[in-house]
Amino acid sequence: MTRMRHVAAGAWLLVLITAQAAFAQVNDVTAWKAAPAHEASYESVRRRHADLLGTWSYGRLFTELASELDTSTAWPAGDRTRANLVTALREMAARFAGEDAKLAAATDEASKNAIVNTILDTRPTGLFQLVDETWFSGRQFVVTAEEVEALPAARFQDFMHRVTVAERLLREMARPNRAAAVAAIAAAAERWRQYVFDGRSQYPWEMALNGLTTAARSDIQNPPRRQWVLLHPEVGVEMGRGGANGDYVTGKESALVQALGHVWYRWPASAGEELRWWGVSGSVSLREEQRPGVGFTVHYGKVVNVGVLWREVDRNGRRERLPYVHTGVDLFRLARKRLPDWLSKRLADGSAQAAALPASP
Amino acid sequence: MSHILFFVHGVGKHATDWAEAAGGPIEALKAASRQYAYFGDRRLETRVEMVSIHYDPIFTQVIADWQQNANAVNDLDASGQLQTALGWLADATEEQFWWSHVADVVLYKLSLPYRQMVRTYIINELATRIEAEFDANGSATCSVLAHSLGTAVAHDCLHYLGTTRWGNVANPFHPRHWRFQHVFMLANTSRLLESTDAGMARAYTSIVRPGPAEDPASYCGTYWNFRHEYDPVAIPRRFDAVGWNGYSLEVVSHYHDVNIHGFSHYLANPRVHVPILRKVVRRSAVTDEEFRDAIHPDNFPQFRIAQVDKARAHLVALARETVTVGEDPDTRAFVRMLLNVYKLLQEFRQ
Repeated sequence: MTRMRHVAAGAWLLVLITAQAAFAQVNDVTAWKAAPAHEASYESVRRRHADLLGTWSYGRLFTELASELDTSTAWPAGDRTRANLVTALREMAARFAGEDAKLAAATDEASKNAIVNTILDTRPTGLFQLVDETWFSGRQFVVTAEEVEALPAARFQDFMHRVTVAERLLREMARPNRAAAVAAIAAAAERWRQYVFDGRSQYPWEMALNGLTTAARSDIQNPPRRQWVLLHPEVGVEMGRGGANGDYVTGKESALVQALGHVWYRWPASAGEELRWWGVSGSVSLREEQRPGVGFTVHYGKVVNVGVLWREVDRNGRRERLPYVHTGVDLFRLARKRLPDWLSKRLADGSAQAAALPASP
Repeated sequence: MSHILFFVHGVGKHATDWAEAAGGPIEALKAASRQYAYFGDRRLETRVEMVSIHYDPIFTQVIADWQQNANAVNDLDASGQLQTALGWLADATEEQFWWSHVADVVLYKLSLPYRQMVRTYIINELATRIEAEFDANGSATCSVLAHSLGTAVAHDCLHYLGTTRWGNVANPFHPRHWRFQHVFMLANTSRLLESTDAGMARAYTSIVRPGPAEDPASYCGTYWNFRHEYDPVAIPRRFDAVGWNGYSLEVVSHYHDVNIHGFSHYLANPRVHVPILRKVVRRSAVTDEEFRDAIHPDNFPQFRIAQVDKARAHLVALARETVTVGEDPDTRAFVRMLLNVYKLLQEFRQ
C-alpha cells in the first residue's frame, strides 16, 4: 500500500512537472505568435467591429474593446492584469473623445487622413508598445512581461491578442501618415545626395565655407539653395584666334581656377527631375606657355561652364584685343554620369517612394 | 516577430559586408551567444535580425572625387603652383590611415553638407526597414548598436528621425507614438562630436535617452554606454549621463587584441555582450550563474595575448595619450591624438 502511494505521488509529481514545463514553454512574450481564429485576434476584431472601423470611430472602438475585456468570463474577478489593460484601453478611448464625430463627418479618405494627422500631432498613440518587457511603463497600470507569462495559457493568449490588437489598430490608423513620412524621408535623402554628388562640386575648403554660410541656413530635409565657389580648380579649354591674321580658332587645355563665385540652385519640382543651377565666378586660367589669364565664368548646368578671360600679352600690360573663350569641365560630374551601383541599389526603393512626393521646397 | 538590431559602424574602411564578415561584430555577437545554454538550440539569428548600416561608401565617394579632380588638374598645371595646393588631395586614398580613419571624423565634425547626407541616408535606411516591419507585423521591435563615430552618427539620426516633421505631416516615429527598445553605444563619441545644426540637440539634451512609453523627451527603453578604460577615443568629452532612469554605464579593461578600440573587441567582453543579449532576446537568455562564470578571470582574463608585458606597456602609452589630449580637446588636438594612437597601434602590433 505504501509503495502504491509512493508510485501515485511520483506520478502526480511527474504530471505537475510536465504541465509546468509545457506551461513555461508556451508563455513566451518574445516568441508569441497570433492565432487568427482567436476571438480577440486582429482578424476577429476587424470582423466584429467592421461598422466602427468603417466610420473610423476609434473612440467607440476602444470603448468597446475595454468593455469586452472587462466583461470577459475568461478572467477572474479582480484580476490585476486584466484591470490594467482595461484601464489602458479606456485611456486610449478617452483620447479620441470628440474625434469620432469629426471622422464620421469627413466624407473622403483625404479628409479623414487630415483629421488623423491632427490627432497624431496632438495625442500620443504609443501606449500599447511593449518596451523593455513592459507595457504602459511609467503608469500606475503598468504590466510586465513576467506577470503576463505567469498567467495560465488561455489568459496569456487572451492578453497577448488584446494588447497587440490595440497597438495594431493604431498603427493601421496611422498607415497613410507613415507612408507619407517615409516618402518624405526618402526624398530628403535624395535631395542631400543630389546636393553633395550632383550639385556644383565642392572641394574640402568650399564644403567648409558653405557649411558655415549657405548650408547653415538649410535643414535636414532641405539642402541649400545657394553655394559659394572658392578657389575651385578644374580642367579648362581655352579657345582663341590663331594664325597671322587670326583667321582660325585654336583650342588649348588649361588649369582653370574659379577664384570666387556663387551658384543658385533650382531644386526639382518632382522626383525624377535633375537638379539645375546657374552662377558666376571670377576665374584665373593657367597655361604652360602663357601668362595667367583673368576673366569670369558663367555656370549653367551640370558639366560645362563657359566664360571669357583676358591674358597679358607682354610685360607692358598690353592685353589681347579679343579675349579667349574658355570652358571649364567639372570632372566630378563628368566622371559620374550615372550613380555608383551601391547607391543606385540603395536608393531604388527611395526613388519609388519619392515619386509620390508633393512639390519640393 | 524578431527583434531588429541595427549595427552602425565607426571610422575606417568598411566593405558592404563589414558587419557580417568573419571577425565582424555580427559574427562576434553570434559567437559570444553560443557559450550560453539558452542559445544551444535557439541560434541568436533566429531571435534577432541583425541589420548592418553601411554609410562608408559616401565618404569613399567624396574622397575619390577630390582625388580624381585634383589629379586631373595637377596634370595640366605646368607651373606646379596647383600641385603644391592639391598634392595632398591627389594622394588621397583610403589605404592611408589619415584618409581611412581620421578624415571621416573631421568631415563629419566640420562639414555640414557631408553630415546631412550621411544622416539622411541612414535615417532613410532605418525608416524603410521599420516601416516594412510595421507593414508585416503591425509593430516594430528595434534597437541600435553603434560604435565609435557611429555612436555620434546614430545619436544624430535617431534624434532627427523622432523629432522632425517629415514632409510637414505628423511624425509617426515621434516618441509619443513609437520608440526604440534599447540603444547600445560602444566607445561613445556622441558628446565629442555633437553639433548645433538646425533641429539637432546636444547629446545630453536630445531625445536619445531612456524613458517610458509615449514620453516625448526620450526615445528608448534603456540606454547602455560601454567604454574601455584605456580607449582614448571614448575619453575626451566622455559621455556619462547622470540621473537617467534606464541608463547603464559599463567600463571594461580587457586586452585581447592590440586594437582595443575595435567593435568586435568590445563585444568579446561578457560585460558588454551579456547585457546586449539579455535585452535583445530576454533577460533569462543568460543566467546570473552563467554571467558570473563568463566574467571570472579564469574564463575571461584581462590579458589574452602572447606578450602581456608589451600589452601593459601599450596600455600605459594609451593612458598617456588620454592625459595629453585632455578632457575637452579641439578638433586639431583630437586628430593629433588619433594619429598618435595609430602609430602606437602599428608599433605594438609588431
